[in-house]
Amino acid sequence: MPVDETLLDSIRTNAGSETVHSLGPVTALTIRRYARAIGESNPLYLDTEFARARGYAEIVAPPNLVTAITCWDEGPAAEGLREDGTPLVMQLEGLPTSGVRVMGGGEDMEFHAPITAGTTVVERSTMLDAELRQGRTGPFIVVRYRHEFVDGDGVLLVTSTRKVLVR
Amino acid sequence: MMSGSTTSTGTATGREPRFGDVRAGDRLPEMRHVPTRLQLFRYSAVTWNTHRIHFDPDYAAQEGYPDVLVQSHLHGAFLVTLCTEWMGASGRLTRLGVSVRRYAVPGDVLVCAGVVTGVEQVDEGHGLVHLDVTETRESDGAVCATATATIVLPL
Repeated sequence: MPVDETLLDSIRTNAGSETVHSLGPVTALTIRRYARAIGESNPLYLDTEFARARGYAEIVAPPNLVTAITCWDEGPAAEGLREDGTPLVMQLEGLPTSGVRVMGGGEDMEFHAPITAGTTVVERSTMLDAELRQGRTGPFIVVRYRHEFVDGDGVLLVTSTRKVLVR
Repeated sequence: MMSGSTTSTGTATGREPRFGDVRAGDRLPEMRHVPTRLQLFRYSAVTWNTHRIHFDPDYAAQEGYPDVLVQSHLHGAFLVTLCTEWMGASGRLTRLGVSVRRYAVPGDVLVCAGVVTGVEQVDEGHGLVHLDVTETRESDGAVCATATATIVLPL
């Protein structure tokens, strides 16, 4: 699929519309495993008594955990995965599902409130804009998304503005 | 080595910094990470990231890489840890803007470093500390990731 003004226009038709996904609870096990995977020994992430002594109801998620989780449910069956292992159906709204390569291009995260184990998280995502640029190896499109992670009462936990490169 | 190792040079004083102690130009104690294939596997597993570039060396070779690639959010997590280790339990990381510049593979020694770029008092009890942080591969000096960060500290 050519990366050109036509593709840019088709991506841009999705700008501004919000999608909402219920991600479910961030469990204590996910927090502990994430802390292990990144090599952390911070007791806030691992030790319930320590977290409670610091005024938290439960252990706390490392700051970038919710933005790092690629898939919050079981994901597609094997036949629903591409050659590179990623799902055939992209979770990002408005991008073509085949014929282009999609990669991350940086992320700006704001951490508004700590996320404690058991917190149910809802993600609201909006495509902000898209722009066609010329790179050394050809044209690419930069798509910016804003993601808001809120709890069950709508309290803002984390916001993230993410650039996705389409080439 | 069985799993990713992380070492810190340790804080000079061993106590949590207060806002009044911090000056622009202050450097954070460096931290070193040596990611392994096992660490990348566990990171992909816990984030349910099925991309083969992070766990399948044959696939990574097809794409022209020497080994599986460190996940961009794992680069980010290393930079988060640099900040949270320095600030201690009384500080709070409020912002991190990350840009991954170069890929890294298992066995790379990744050195995380940070410098205070500015301080501003926000109220009677707290101040903001702004930082530039980087993750550099020790072998060739390549900057793999950069970020700006903001931390709230008690006065």
